[in-house]
Amino acid sequence: MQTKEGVQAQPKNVSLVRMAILMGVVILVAAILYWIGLPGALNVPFLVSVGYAVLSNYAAVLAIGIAVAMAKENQGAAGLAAFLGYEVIIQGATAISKGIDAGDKSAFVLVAGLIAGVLAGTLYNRFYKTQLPAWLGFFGGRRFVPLVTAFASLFIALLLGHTWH
Amino acid sequence: MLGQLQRIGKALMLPIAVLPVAGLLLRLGQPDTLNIAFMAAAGNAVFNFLPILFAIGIAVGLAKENHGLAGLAGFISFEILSYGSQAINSHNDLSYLGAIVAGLLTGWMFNAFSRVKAKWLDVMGGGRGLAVVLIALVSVVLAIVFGYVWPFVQDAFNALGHWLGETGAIGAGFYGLFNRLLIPFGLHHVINTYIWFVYGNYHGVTGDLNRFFAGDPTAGGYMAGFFPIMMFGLPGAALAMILAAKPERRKAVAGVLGSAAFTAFLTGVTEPIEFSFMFLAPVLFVVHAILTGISMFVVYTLGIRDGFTFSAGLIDYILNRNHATHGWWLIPIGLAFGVIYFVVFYFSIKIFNIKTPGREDEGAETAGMGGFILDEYQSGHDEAAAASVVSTAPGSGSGAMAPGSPMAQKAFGFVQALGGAENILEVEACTTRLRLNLADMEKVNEAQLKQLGASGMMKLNQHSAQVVVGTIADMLVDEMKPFLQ
Repeated sequence: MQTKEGVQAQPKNVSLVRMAILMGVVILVAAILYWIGLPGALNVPFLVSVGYAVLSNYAAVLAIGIAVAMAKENQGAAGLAAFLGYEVIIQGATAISKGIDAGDKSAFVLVAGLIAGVLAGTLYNRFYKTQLPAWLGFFGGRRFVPLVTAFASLFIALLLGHTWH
Repeated sequence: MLGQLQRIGKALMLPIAVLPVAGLLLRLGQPDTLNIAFMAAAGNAVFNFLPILFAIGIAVGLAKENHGLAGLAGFISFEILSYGSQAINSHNDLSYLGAIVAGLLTGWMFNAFSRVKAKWLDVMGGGRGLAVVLIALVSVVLAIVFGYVWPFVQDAFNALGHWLGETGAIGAGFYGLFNRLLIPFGLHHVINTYIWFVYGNYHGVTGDLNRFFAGDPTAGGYMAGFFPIMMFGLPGAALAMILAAKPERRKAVAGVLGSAAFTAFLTGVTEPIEFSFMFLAPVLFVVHAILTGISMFVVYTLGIRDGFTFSAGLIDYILNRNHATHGWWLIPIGLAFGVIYFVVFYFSIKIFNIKTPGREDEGAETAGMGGFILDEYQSGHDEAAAASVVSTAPGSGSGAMAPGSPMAQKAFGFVQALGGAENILEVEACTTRLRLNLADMEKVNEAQLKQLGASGMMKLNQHSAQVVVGTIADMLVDEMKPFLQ
């Protein structure tokens, strides 16, 4: 593992910049599949669907990507927490205010994705070593992160639900 | 095969750890509790998106070093498979099964693809970044396969569900039996996942657990029977072990097993009690599994339905009381099971002279297996002991600089007890255990492991073993990693 070639070829951590480039590539690939599937091009509805699968979820991809890039050692628990927080924010806020547009192309999902990503990444680094009393031990360590993120997201949902127009 | 299944079982833990959040938010938010609509909506959201959390969590769980990019890939893969297979056949619903398959495929592909090394890949995160893109492309191809194959998979699992439904109480009983028998291997999550998240259908909601929380009055038959066992049965067994301990040690044992019993009653976390006799008296553990099966059978037959998002303890019992059918019956049934467990355990221990905690022979304090449960609880508090073991251990030679934190010292001790860094090919944490892949099993110093607080060791074959260390497993592995490089 600590051989020279390993150090050279495999960057230890995926930084925010590298993550942004990677997300760009993924979105681009999805967009290409979507475009060539359109009636004006090859007219393959299947390709439109798989492209749309990623494009319509771009904000969630953003949330997961940001959290993972921010988390120490790019740990996956942060990504899971980010997705959880993203959904809690959207569902919670739209339950408070029915007027919020949380469609695929809305500004709201983008904001929710950005907040959830930063929140999960920050909370991961803060709480991933939390030791709980023995009877709650199962929820200590990394598993504590999604729990904290979900409850923090609830407050964001409360805030956005009352202020977003 | 067993190893792979165990990896899957372990990978299921992360998404399962999220469930209690969903349950808490949903139940606290609903009108009969705090009546906060947006909280209930958020809880509902977690339930609705659980398949995605499974896809992410399983991919992460299987990925080397639990890398987050595997989670991103798992999410993308699952979305592509869902949309793509539905474009081919609109009746396809991947749901949990599809999410698990997506998670598994992603995890394996991620480990394979991420080995690729190339300078030009650095800008997008190296081989791991490439893996995300490749997994997305492979998923497009797989979506075609899924589109045509999934209807048959759905039919097969529906048939399995029908068959299970027809076995009724007997099926529930056997489920309870196997659920407990699989605990020592950590495989119970694999069958739990089918029963709780896939089995049955109520207005499009699948799984005994999901349907219960969606208001299906028939759901909960595969959970209700755990309440008598976890809230009363195992605490009864703990009481038996306390009273069977030597008088001079009874107080210490009561402190530890008493809090373990309280934990089981309150939260439904039973592993501390179960591990205290699992290795000492496997027969008693089998009896415990059979009694669990009987409880499931009886409770199902009586038409009692109750559920949980975490486990069958008081917290879930109170939280879900208004969803339950005949829920209060579980209390008298539980009390009966408490008495049965107490009698069975007390007399078995006395008659067969089982060395449960506090019954060890004199002078066998550190070597005797009865001390395990004590250690499991003290782990985290006995750093001094751990440190002394480290300093007296026949050092592995390499410049044994004193590591910083108590947990790091403990970790260093474990590395040494397991035969040093070069002997440990792979180490992973799973709830309360270290899963190990060792070069040479002979180099392991079991006595030293126990001194460090390990409760037991299971050797699966010549190279793989598990060491039970308690809930600190995750953090211990984190601290061990630096010593392994």
